[in-house]
Amino acid sequence: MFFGVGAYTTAILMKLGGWAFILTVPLGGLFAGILAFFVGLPTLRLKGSYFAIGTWALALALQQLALILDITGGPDGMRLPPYLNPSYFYYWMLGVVGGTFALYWILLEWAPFGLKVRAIREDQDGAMALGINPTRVKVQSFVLSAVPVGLLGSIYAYWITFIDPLSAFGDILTDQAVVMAVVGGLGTLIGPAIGAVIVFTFKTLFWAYLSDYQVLYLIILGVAIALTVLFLPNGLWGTFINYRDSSRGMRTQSVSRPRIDASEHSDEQEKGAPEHG
Amino acid sequence: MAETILKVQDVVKTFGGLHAVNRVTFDLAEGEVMGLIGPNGAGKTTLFNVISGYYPPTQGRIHFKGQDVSGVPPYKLAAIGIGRTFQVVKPFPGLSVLENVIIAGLCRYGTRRASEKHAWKILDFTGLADQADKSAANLTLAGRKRLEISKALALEPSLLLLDEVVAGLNPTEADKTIELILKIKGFGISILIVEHIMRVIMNLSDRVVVLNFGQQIALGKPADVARDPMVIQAYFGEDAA
Repeated sequence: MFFGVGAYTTAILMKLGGWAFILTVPLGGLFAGILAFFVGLPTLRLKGSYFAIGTWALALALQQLALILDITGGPDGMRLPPYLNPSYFYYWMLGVVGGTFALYWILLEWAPFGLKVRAIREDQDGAMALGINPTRVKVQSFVLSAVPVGLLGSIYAYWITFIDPLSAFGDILTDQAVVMAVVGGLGTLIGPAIGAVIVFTFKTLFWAYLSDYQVLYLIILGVAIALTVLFLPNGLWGTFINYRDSSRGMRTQSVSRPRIDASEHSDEQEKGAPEHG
Repeated sequence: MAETILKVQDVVKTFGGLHAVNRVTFDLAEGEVMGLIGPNGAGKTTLFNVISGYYPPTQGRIHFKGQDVSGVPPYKLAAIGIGRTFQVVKPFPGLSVLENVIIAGLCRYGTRRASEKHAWKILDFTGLADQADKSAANLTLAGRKRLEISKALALEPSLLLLDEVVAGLNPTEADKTIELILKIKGFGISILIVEHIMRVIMNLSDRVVVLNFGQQIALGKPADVARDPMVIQAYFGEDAA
């Protein structure tokens, strides 16, 4: 959903406003962030799957909105002036992804924010007793996860030069992102990146050799999620970390003082926005 | 007489038609230890949850340091100085003992570094320093209860709510925890303590409140309360009284 907001921000501003691409990208991120704030405030008070259902419904509503509005071109979508320079877009995306990764690393592994997020994930009532306002931290995480997705949506629109409600707000994007995160390992920074490499390698091979059986693609993704949840609930990276820690043996009781050890449990919640793409 | 730190006034908490807490009234003075006892289901934990902000009171008011805090959410109460433990302990199991306490310190000491320094002091005090690096999930029950106390203390509270921190411990561990609570009392921190074990309550409390079926049936010095016929009846039934 935030991806679509970024994509349409760039498309509308460039096409109808004649803005320069560079100026539209930050706005794509900003609008995604603002939307996340106002969506998060009420929905993040919901527990469990209601939040997911709420955001999913909203994504569908935005898709419908893009379908009927004139400004978005309705079902015909929007065509942007082509700029055929793949490496230009590659560096843009690399910059955004790199920056996002660095920011998340600092916030989650190093700053107090990461500890608060983990506390809430482990035990929300317990976290509240320690002065942590769960809704506030969740809204912050949500906004934080939406902004990079909005930025990437902006870049995507100009890169592909054509967006329509299905490509910008469609579920295939979200579904892929969920598979990446789950297969790679939820709650880790590295996991989803590993998942992304796997999903895209698979996708490329699939379209190269099996494109006659398109229908299989989503089925295979679905099966991948089911199998991962059943047999590798921590994902590939999470399982690897657990294995590594247990093969090192139990932690000894002698502690070398002052130390901050976050690396041993790098189970920070990657608020990897893709889930809410 | 020291200043009143906590004022519980006619507090009622109902769930549907059930009066889990029914018109409870008492004051807690600064530095005082108040025991809260009563048979199972008397409403002790519910009252704790109301005082610490987890449930808003259905009726009645709660004042903390002269400020009306009825219905104020737990995280705000933690910030103004109410620390609590949970009967069913709530460690963050995936985190180390040290990290658990650092999180608690964050609301007083904004940075991770300052909070860690503070956490080490707390762990030294509660005797968990040598297990700081352990995952909280690997602690023994006694350790987890101590961790609960450590986290609540890291908030530097002026009022501490202890919910059965001794229950379930063996006698040696229990004595150590009682000693710890007495040390905490020595700092002038006011304590409201729920406990089933009479020895603990009698040893620690300056005064005792007794609840039965949500009603407050006695309030006074431990020795007086122990002789109160209503209390004896609540605990041992009609015949004993």
